[in-house]
Amino acid sequence: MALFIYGTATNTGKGFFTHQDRQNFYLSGHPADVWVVGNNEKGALWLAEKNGVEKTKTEAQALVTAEVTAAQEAWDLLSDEQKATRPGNDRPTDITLP
Amino acid sequence: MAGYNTIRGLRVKYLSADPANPEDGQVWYNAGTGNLRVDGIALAASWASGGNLAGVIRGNRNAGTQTAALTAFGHNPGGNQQTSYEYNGTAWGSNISANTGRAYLSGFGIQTAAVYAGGYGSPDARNNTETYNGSSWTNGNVIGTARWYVGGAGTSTAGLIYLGTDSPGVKSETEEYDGTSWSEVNNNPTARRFGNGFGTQTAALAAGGLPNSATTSQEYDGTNWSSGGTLNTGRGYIQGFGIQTAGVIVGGNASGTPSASTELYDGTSFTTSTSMTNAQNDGGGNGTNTAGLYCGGGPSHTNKTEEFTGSVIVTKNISTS
Repeated sequence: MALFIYGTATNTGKGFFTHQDRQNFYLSGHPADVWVVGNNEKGALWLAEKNGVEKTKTEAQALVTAEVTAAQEAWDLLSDEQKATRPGNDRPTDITLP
Repeated sequence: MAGYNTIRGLRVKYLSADPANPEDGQVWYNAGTGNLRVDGIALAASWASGGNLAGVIRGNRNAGTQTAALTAFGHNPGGNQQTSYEYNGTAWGSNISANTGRAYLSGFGIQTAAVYAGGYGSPDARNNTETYNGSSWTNGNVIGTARWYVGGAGTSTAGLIYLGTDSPGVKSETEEYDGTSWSEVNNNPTARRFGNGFGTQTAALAAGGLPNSATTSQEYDGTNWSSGGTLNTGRGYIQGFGIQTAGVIVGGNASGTPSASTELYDGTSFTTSTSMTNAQNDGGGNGTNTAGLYCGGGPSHTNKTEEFTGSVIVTKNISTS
């Protein structure tokens, strides 16, 4: 059985994931509202309850990569001065989903 | 199969309610609820989602507690901000405007008595100080060394700032705040930027930072800095909260990659705890090692909040599921 379920869901804020959820299953959030969820009964139920749309790992990775690529392209368009002087404005790095 | 009586040397008590002071590992039957109960179950620390901010932000800084917090200033795609928002443990309130837009500064204190100093206000390192009293912002005396990515700790009457940058330089200066004015005191021996920490004016910790995704930390005793514990994950752009003997370092950016890592400090060493759900660097953090908060942050900008709850010992039902 696969370790993770992949899906998209909009983080609505308070209560979207709880401490109990974090005790019950693995959960990590990524760009493009992509969530990696531990593949157990409670994890699957959580994604369903959040009106999540389940994706394959390949589909989820493609969504993340598209958002990161867009951010990288935006960064590349900055002038050298902007890149040098804007604090904390490092070029976004690639993200590989677990 | 051995029964509880054999293992523990005791029978399982049949009680009308949970005992007032159960021992770790004690088992009993609660006749009132019909549950077999056990005490002393350790629940790991965890992060849960909090209320979303009104807009995306990074470079914001926090003060206060998990249920009475303040996040202020920061940067969004529109530029440096002078916004501030109060959090009540559930939702963020409406904007209360400060005086000078800037980001990547230092913030400390409580929701009704907070101090924010330094920062980046395009294109310069700032020396501004502003204080918040729970309803409005007031300009204060400037800090001695203008800088951004400056760490902070303490209260509105006994504060501390340290480290930072004015690009390309890295700063080692330490300044103490008495509620009115800043005084320069002994430098941190390791100049760096993007570090942060926690504590009080007389018992603080500065950790991490750049260059080289530092793993080092230094403890401040009110007079001098001395070496502290070593982070398990070296990184900059971190946030810290708590006190010197019970602190939390969270988030950051390790070698260009945003980190969700959470590490706990006990006054001697760091241990890895449960990671945030979303890897973030450069948001605002505040609270304690049992009830913390993190909001905003990069790598782009976000409006998300996560609430930290430290490990707790609880009583639980024993069930087959």
